[in-house]
Amino acid sequence: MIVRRYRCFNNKQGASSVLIILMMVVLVVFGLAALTTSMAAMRLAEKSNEWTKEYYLLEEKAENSLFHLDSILYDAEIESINYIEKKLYLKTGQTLFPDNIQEMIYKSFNFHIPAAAGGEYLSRVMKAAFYKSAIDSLLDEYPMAEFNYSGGYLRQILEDEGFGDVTLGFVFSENEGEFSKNVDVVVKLQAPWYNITIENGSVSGNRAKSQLKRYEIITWREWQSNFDYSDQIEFEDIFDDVPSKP
Amino acid sequence: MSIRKYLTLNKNKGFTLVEVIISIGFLCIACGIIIQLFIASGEVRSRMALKEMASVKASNAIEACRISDSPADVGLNIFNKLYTDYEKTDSGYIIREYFNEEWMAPQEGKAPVFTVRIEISESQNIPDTKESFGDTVAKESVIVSGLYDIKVTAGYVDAGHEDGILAEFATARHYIFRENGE
Repeated sequence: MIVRRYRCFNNKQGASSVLIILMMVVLVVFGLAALTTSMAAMRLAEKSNEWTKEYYLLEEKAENSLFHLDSILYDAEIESINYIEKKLYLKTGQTLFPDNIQEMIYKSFNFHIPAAAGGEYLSRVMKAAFYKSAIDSLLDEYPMAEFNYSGGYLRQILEDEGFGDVTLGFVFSENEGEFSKNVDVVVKLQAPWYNITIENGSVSGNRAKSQLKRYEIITWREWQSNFDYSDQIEFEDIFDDVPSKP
Repeated sequence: MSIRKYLTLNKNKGFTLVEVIISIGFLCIACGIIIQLFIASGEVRSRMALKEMASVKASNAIEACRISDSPADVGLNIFNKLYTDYEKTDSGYIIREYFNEEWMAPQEGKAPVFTVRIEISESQNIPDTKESFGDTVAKESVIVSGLYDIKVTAGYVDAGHEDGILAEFATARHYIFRENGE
């Protein structure tokens, strides 16, 4: 029996066929592996492309909001100019400001502030008018946005006491859900500063050249929602067009 | 030579011509399939590299637009260089930047293979801000602000190419600048 088995192994007929078949199998495996990695790399490139596209769409949303914000601030600036040009600071009745603030402006300008410092005081009044108009509009426009400002800001501006920042935070999301991409934007409002002069009863103002923008971006953060990597290996059909998880 | 040795030699017969032809035929078919696999893999890899490069170039174009102050600035300054052309539209510019097959500047006399097309259009604007108010001061300088849309496509110059567009991005930019440049 043992002798018979050894005889069978000693017969070398067909050995070359076995070698060729093995070589073919190895080559096919290598070919498939190369194709698979190429397809995976291709899908990765497409996914990266989609990812970039989504972030640009998010940035578009953010830029649109900044434009909208600037148009609100532009209206606030025009309203503050009108307040000064129409000399509403000489009124005691209803204006842009609440009655108590309006009365304070009236009294300060007419009785307490020296004539030489009248222009500078009106510059501060104009700044307060800008913030009052802007904050009122923004509270209506963005009820969900994170909005920070000091409650007594009008008095602080008018009395030149130092004034905290007014900030507005937005969050924009794309592909909402587990893997959502987000952009956080926080802006600080900047009132334009006008150097006001009073000559022979007529008031005029020059916008300070150092400050151009009505807002300043203080945060611009792009991020993706956290997700856990699974330690399980999942095989999927790479030829399938359905996109997998990012 | 002994009879035993003669019989042993006689056992190692060679292949017939038919056997050799058939085996070579099978080998060719199998090799053909394997080579096809490698060729397909190479094609996929080169297409992936093209897509990645197109994506990078399109992204670069968008960033170049986003650092500019206005559509005119993008149209006239940023892309005012060789291997580009631009046309002015009612609301902005269409700029094309050309590349050779390796996404480099094309050589003189050789037709470009790839192009990045940038479309910039002013979608909305805010009324100009005057630099001064009141009767006694001139109202010359203005602050201009608005929003422009950017659409970038990177792909083959030949519009009829089956894979025409390789990457396509769109975004917007809110701009503010002083018109007098002071």
